[in-house]
Amino acid sequence: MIRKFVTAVLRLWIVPVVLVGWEVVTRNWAHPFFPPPTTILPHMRDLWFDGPASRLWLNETALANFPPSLGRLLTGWVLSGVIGVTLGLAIGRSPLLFRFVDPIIQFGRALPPVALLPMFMAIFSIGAKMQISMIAFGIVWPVLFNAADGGRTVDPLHLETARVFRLSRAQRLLRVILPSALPKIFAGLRLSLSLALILMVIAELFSTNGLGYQLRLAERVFDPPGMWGAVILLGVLGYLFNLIFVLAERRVLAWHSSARHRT
Amino acid sequence: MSGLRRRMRISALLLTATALLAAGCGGGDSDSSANAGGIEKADLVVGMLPLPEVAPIQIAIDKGYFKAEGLNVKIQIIQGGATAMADLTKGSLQVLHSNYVSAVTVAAKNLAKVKVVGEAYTAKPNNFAIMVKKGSPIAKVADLKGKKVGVNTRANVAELSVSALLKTHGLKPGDVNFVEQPFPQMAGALESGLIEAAFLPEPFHQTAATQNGAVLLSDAFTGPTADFPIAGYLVTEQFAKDNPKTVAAFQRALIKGAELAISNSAEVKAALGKYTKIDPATADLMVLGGFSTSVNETRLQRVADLMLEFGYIPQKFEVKQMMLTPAAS
Amino acid sequence: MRLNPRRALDSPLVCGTLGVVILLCVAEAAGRVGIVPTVQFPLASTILVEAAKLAADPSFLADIATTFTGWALGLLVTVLIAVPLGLLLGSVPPIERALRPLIEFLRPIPSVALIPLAAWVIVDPTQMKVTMIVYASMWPVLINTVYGLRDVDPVAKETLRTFGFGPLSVLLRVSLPSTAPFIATGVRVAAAIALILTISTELLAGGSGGMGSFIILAESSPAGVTLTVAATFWAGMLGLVTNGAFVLAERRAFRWHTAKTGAAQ
Repeated sequence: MIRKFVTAVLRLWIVPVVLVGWEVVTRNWAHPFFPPPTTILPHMRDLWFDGPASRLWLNETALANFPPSLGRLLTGWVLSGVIGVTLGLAIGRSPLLFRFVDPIIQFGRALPPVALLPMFMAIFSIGAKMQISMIAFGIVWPVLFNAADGGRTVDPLHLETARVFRLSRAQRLLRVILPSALPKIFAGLRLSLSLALILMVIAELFSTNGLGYQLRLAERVFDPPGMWGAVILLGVLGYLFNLIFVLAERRVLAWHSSARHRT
Repeated sequence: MSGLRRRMRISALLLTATALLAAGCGGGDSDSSANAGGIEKADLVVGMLPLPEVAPIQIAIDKGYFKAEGLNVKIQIIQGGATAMADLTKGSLQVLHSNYVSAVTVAAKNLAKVKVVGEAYTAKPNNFAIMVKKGSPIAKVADLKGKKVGVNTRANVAELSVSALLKTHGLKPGDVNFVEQPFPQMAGALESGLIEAAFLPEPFHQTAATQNGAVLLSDAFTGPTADFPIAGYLVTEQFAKDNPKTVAAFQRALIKGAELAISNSAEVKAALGKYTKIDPATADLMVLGGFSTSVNETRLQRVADLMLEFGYIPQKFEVKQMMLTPAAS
Repeated sequence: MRLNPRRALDSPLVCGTLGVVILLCVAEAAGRVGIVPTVQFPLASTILVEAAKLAADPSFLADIATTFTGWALGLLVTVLIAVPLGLLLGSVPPIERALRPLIEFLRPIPSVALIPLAAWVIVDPTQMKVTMIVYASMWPVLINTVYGLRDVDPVAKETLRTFGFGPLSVLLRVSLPSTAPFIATGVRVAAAIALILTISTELLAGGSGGMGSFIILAESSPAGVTLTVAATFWAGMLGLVTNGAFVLAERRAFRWHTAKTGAAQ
C-alpha cells in the first residue's frame, strides 16, 4: 500500500520540473500578463485557501464559489450520463430510431454552446437549472455515441442465449446489453467529465457565483494572477476528477468482469 | 504504385499546410514610408466595437476626411476587453476604441501605457437607461436593494454608473447583485426574471420599451455622473511618441467626422448601416447626441476618482498621464 | 415484396428528414403556445426565414468561407501535431507515463480562459484561431492514437521484427495502418470540437472575420438573438456536412484497409 502510494507520487516528478521551468521563463520575460508561479500560488492562497485547517483551509470566498460550481458540474454530468446512456442504447438497438435522429444529433453536436445560451435561458429561465442543462447538452455527445456503439456491438450469442432463456425485455437490457456496453460507456463518461469542467466555465459566465464567474471577473478587472489562478485550479480539478474516475472505473469493471465470469 | 501516389498526395498536402502556415505567420509589417505630408505612418487599423458611438470614424472614412489627411484608415470590429487591449499593445491595432474605465484600469495597474487621442462619446440624457420589466414592483432606485442588475460587462462603465446611482439613493454597490448579460439578451433576461433591472444603451432601451413594454427606472448617467465621459480612442504611448504627425492628422479628421455626426443625424444613421446590424427603423428610435470633439481632462479625472471610490483601482490615478501633449510641429 | 411505406422507412434520407421536420414542428409549437417565450428565443419559423436571408447575403457567405478555412487549417495542424505525438507516446510508454499528469491537467482548461491570456503573445488572428483549435481538439486524436497503438496485434509486430525490420519500419508497416481506424474516429470527434472552437475564437478574440465576427456584429442590434441563432443554424449545418464527409471518407478508407489486409494474408 505504502509502496503503491510512493510510486504514484514519484510518477508526478514532471510537475516540479514544469513549475521550475515555468518560473524561470516567466521571471526572465517579466510580462505583466504572464506572472511566475510564485506570484500566482500566493494569490490563490489569499483568494481561496487561507481559511482554518478544520475546513480544509477553504475560506469564505472558496465556500461561496466552489460548492455551487461542483454541484452544477456533477449534476450536469450525471444528467448527461443518464440521457446519453438511455438514448444511446436505444439508438444502438434500433436502426430505425437511429435513422430518424442521426441528422438531429450531428446537427446539435456542431452547435457552439455559447450561442445557445439564450435558448437555455428561455427554456429554463433562472440560475442553476439553466446552467445544468447547458452543461448536460454540451457533454452528452461522447456518452451518447459510445453507448450507441456499445449497444450495436452486443455479442449475438449472448442475445441468442437470453432469448433461449426467455428473459424479459428489461432483463435483457439490464443483464446482457448494458453490461456488454459498459466499457464503452465508461470511456464516454470519462471524456465528458473533462468536457464538463469546460462547459461549467462557459455556463457560469453569466451568473453571480462559481469558478467560471470568478474567472470572468478576474478578466474584467485585468487581474492576471487571478486569471491564472482560476486556470490552474481548473487544471487541478480536472486532474483529480480523472484520477477518481479511473479508480472507480477500475473497481466497477473489475467487479463486472468477474461477475460475468461467474455466470 | 498506389502507395507512392498516396505518399505524393500526402507530401503535397504537407506543402500546402506549410505554405498556409507561413502565410498566416508572416505579413505583419506593411508600413508605407512617410509620404509628402510628413506623416510617419499612413496605414492605420482602428479597432472598435459595433456601437453607435463610433459613427464619426465611419463618417470620416466615407467622407474622405482621413484620406485628405493622407491616412488610410481600416476598421476592425472587436469584442473588447483584455483581448482588444492586447491587440493594441502588440501593434495589430494602431488605434483602439475603448471605454475609459478599461483604459484607466489598464493604465493604473501598469499593464499598458496608453494615451487618449480623441473622445468618442459623452453620456447625454436618454442615451443610457436602467430599465425594469413591465409591472415590476421596482418603482424607484432605492427598491433595487437585493435585486439582480444586468450589465454588459462586469466591473466596467455600466456597473460604475449603477454604483454611483445607488450611492445617491443611499445604497452601496454590494446591495445589488450584478449579472453579466449581452445587450440583445437583456430584454429576454428581464422577462424571465434572470435579472430584475437592466443597464441598456441606445437603441436597446428603446426597443425593450416598445417591443416588450419595459419601463424606465432611471437615466443611467444623471446627478453626479451627468455628462459622464464614456469612451475614447487610445494609442500606445510609444506610438504617440513615434508618430506625432500621424496622430495629429488622425485627430483632425476624427473631429471633422464628429462635427458632422453632431450636426447631421441622418449621416449617423447612414453610417450605422455600414458597421452595425442596427436596421434603419430601429436607428430612427435613437436620440444619440453624445458625440464629442474634445477630451476634457477634468471630466475624465472624475471617472478615475469614481473608480477609486468604488475600488476599481487600488490608488489615486492622475489622468494627466493619459493625456496627449501636443507635439511641437 | 415489401410494401412501399415500409421501404421508405429503410431510407436514412427519408427518416432523417422526417425527424428534422417533427423536431421543427415541436419547436414551433413550443414557441407559439408560450412554453418558450418569443421575447427570449425566436420561433423556429423566424429562425429559418432569417437563416434563408443570410444564405443570400454575400458577406455572410464570406464569413462561412472564412470559418471553414480556419477550421480546415486548424484541423490539419491538429492532426499533424497530435498523430506523431500520439505515436511517440504510444510506442514509448515511459514518456507517456511521465506526460500523463500534464495531459490530464491541460485537457480540462477551457480555451475561453486561455484566449484573453494568449492574446498578449499571439499577434495574428489566424494563428490565434489555429492555436486554440489545436489546443482543444488535439486530445481525442492524441488519446485515440495512443489507445489504437495498444490494440496492435503483437504477433504481427513480432513477425516483422524477426525478419529484421527496425522499430521504425514496424511502426510504419504494422502499427500505423492498424491504428488508422482509431485515429480516424479521433479526427472525426476533433472535427466537431474544432468547428465550435473556430467560431468561439472568432467571437472572443475578434478581428478575424468568420461566423464568430458576425455574432459580434449581431450583438449591436436588438434583433441580435435572432441573427445569432440563425448564424448558429448554419454552424450546425456546416457540422452536419463535414461530419457526413468524414463518415464517407472513413468508410472508403476502411474498405481499402480491409481489402489490403485481406490481400496480404
